Amino acid sequence: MKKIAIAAAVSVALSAGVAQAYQVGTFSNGFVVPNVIHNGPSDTTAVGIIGLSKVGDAVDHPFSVYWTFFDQDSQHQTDGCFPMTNNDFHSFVWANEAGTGYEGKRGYLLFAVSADQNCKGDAKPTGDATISASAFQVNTAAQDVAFVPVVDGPLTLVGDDNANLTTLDGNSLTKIKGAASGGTTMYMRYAIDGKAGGDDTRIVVWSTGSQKGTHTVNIYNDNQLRKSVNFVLAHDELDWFDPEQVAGRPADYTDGFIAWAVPTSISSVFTYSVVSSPAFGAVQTLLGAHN
Amino acid sequence: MRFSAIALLLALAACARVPERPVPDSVRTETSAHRLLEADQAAIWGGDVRCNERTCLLAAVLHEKGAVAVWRFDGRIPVRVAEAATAYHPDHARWLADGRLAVAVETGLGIDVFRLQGDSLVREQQVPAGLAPRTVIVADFDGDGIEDLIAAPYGGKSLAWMPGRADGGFAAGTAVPACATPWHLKILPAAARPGLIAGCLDDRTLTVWDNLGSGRFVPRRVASFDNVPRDVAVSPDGRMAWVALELGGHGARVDLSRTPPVVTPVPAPSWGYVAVDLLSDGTLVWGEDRRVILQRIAADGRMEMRMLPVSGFATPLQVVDLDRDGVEDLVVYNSAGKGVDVWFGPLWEHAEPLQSEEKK
Repeated sequence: MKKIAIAAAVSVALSAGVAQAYQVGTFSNGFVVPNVIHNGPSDTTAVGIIGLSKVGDAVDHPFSVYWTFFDQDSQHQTDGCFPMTNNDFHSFVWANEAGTGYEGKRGYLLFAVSADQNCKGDAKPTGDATISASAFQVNTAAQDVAFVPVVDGPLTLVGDDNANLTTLDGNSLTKIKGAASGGTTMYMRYAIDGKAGGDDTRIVVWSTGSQKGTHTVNIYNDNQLRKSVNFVLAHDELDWFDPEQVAGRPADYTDGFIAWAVPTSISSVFTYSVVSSPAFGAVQTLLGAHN
Repeated sequence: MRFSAIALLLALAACARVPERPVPDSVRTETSAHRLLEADQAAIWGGDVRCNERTCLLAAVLHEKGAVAVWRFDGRIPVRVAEAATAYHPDHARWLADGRLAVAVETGLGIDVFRLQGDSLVREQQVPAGLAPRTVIVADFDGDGIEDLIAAPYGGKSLAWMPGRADGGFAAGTAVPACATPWHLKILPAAARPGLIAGCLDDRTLTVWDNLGSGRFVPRRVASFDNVPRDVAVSPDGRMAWVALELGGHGARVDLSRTPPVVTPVPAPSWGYVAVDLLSDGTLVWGEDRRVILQRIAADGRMEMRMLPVSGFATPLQVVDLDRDGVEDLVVYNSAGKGVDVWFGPLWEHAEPLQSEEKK
């Protein structure tokens, strides 16, 4: 079982007129931003990336970071690349990078390092450079920022060092170290009020395996009481669901957690809850615990 | 017998929006047929009613508050007469025949035994159970003429056997093998010694314990389900059991007199049930969320269902003549909610016709 590498947040300026901040995690050959969406530059996922080249060596070796955007069913949508050098920082604002046609489309981003210079070369993974990232969902209209946890690498890709980072598909990423493993139980927080607006929660479930289907889980309230319920994951690798709509949830279960025994067929899984509470006037991100 | 095909079909339909069922006005405003015993905003995980010819005492555990409270019913009028703190969260309570109250408390000590003296509950003994108890049941299981206690765990695969002593106390618990998480342990009537029966939440079985005497209970699995069996009701002769299944859109009837036991689905109007009890005329009472379902077979053989609204998550249930008028009443301990609902009989006449609704 791996602990999700999330450390203290440190704010830093991104670009495109959005407030910027980032979180220091671990450095590796890549990472995943598990829940990405934009509705124009005023409501977008923003990612800040720190790059280190030639770990343990003073040589300032340029490298490239290839990114791929997948939809919720892990279908490759679009990709790109940007160069980095040692001690470099790159701000990646999804609304600026997505290109046309991706507004309102939810998915996830995979970032991977190559030894290529200026995105020219064979686009193969490398261990000679490492990256770390933090991410936020920035809504300038609401003047709100929600922390988006990043799933740290190392990435395990089909083909290992011979993978082609320009042609990754939904099966390319087989495992990622910063996520939990299948077979563990995920504990996903909810805080709701059963009404439209008010206290709302959305739970993000991302995995490297096919998670699609109806899962029978136990839902607990804030009083140790449990009940089994069915929650539906409608997509293969990324879902964003509302626990208020979970069939069989007792109406008085408004604060608690859902315990999901992740199938062993899923190699890596990552969950978090986004809780919006007018009482606090803020959106909070709560990482799913695992055991 | 498994219901995999039925469960699959119903599970596939589970993605529909879940409407919030509001607390009905008939629950907000107490009617002569209904009372809500508000209990300091605490969820009532369980309790028990004990009656003499004219009055009844209703004990309820206030889980979050860490207390047990007692109401006296003279007719339909409840008066809160006593309350006592427990060491930690109490999960359940049962009256002993001599008027003492056994309370399952989630600590290593297990069962607190209180005596009601005037307006006070006086703790007489803390019985180490060896587990964190979810329920406690009371009967003379070993045939020595003294009541004994058996506790079921909040989680785990053991029961705790606490035999009654001649001095009125109880021996510390010894472990009895069990299925996984038999939350709502019930007594199974038997010709010789009373046995035990429970739905087991974590291995999804209906398990029966044969009572071999001297505290020896042997569990045997009599049915397995695709969904979590939360509660069981048993016919007075012990030959038939009804099982509240949390999901799947149905409950189950298990004919224990057959070998092997025969399992038959029992319809549910929504996602399933979380509690079950039985009226003396054979009408089933099923607990759901914010309502109980009454179910009986009409003279023409059709299944009839009616509904009584309640204020919370209706588990567990107890059928008892609380107002001593000779007609059965229903006590609903809402393990999520704000108190105890009481519906006075005749229950079927007070219940509302059930509208057709979408299966969840």
